[in-house]
Amino acid sequence: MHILIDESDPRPIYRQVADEIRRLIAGGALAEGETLPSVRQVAVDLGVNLNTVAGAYRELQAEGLVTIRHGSGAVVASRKTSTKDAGELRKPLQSALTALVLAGVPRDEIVSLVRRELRALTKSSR
Amino acid sequence: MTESGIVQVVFFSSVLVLYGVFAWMPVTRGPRAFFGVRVEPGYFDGAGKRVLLRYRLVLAAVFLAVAAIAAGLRPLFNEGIVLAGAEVLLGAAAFALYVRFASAVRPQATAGGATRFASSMRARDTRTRGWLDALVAAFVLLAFVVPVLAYDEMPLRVPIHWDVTGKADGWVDRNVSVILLLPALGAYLQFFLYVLRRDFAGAKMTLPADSTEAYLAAKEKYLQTNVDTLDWTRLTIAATFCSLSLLQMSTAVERLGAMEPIARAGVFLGGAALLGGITFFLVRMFRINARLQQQTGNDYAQRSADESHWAHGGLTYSNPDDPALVVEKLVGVGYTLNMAHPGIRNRLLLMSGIPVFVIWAVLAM
Repeated sequence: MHILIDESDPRPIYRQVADEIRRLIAGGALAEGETLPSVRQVAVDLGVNLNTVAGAYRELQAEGLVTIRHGSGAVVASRKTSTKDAGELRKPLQSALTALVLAGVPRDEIVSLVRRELRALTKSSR
Repeated sequence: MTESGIVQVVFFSSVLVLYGVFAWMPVTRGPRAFFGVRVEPGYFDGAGKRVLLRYRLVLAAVFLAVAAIAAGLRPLFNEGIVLAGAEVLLGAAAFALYVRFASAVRPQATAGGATRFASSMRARDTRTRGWLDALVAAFVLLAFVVPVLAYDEMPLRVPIHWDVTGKADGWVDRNVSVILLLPALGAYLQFFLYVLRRDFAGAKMTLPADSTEAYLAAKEKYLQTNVDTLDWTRLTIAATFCSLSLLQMSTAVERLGAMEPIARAGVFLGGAALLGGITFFLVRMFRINARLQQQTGNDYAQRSADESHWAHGGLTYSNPDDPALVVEKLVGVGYTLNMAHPGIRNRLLLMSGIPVFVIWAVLAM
């Protein structure tokens, strides 16, 4: 079980860390109650500042996905985020679909792309 | 075998090992770290091969010259001191030679390293062993308690040196400082190794973006083996130092005479177990990496941003932007310290205890 970081990705590292952990939680690889590695371990392995990883963990905590307990580290609290309504969540999907349509990708291909991504995301979910 | 014979066997086998290590080091990671520098495979298989051959020949010539000088000086001075001096000189000469060849290869460096990489999301657990900590503490305490309790019964002369059969052949006047030297040195080494074990358990583990899970599994095993090496070293050193202390007491104090054979066996077994164990674990680490290389075509991953921070042909690492104190060596087997880490000052301060003990030993005798 691991997260992937890409330095050529325009997203900042802390955002990539948070997104990757979200992916693992959504897919079920990180189950409820599971302990995340310490901020120090992830920062050392990635060679980034401790605050970068702490920032990602705090973001996940704000969304209700993990709880951070002093001393025992971060634990996956839930596989559902507590914030944001469906309307707001749809916005990034809309902009991604817009970009695909504008790029001239055929409709069928976009649909199968979405299916494939969704399948990959929930592949390991139980 | 005589003492001199054993000293010579130890000297020549350690010289052979030293030569083997330095001869092999430039090609540990193939073209990814030839003399610690990433080079084109074409250079590695062509001109690089000739550089390597020249390096190995010069290295062999230097080794032969130093060994010949040491053999010549041996009858004139104390044999142990001559051979130990030769060993130190060989280490320094091999290092200088390696660094010199590395700087010649450096212009061939090509950019590389990963810009896509991975990190484990499993909380790392390098087994802490409570029973081992307790056992080590017991050995350290025992080494102090026995001399303190037996001090009044000690004769005016106490042994400080033993021949290969474990028979005392060097004696000094009884004094507190010579009695406490061995237990104190043992306790200091244990503290040092304890800190090292904790540091190593938190070593950096950068994973490549491909074959990530296979790589992670191998590196977790590699790290655990390294921590096992330190645990084994702690245990065997504790047992050896405690046995040495007890050997000193049982030779000096008549009432403790019955303990002597046990203490003597403890010294020999402890020392043999230390050397044997370290060899076993090093071979294991070497094989884990070799298998990983075979499986995934890679046994070392690092960010391209980290790659330029290796110096001395990949023997030292100094990166102020890296939060890791302990990183896997670029060349060779095992781990090394990030010399630009803020924690390095305390570790060096701790190491300065070694000369303190040397001075203590000289003054006490």
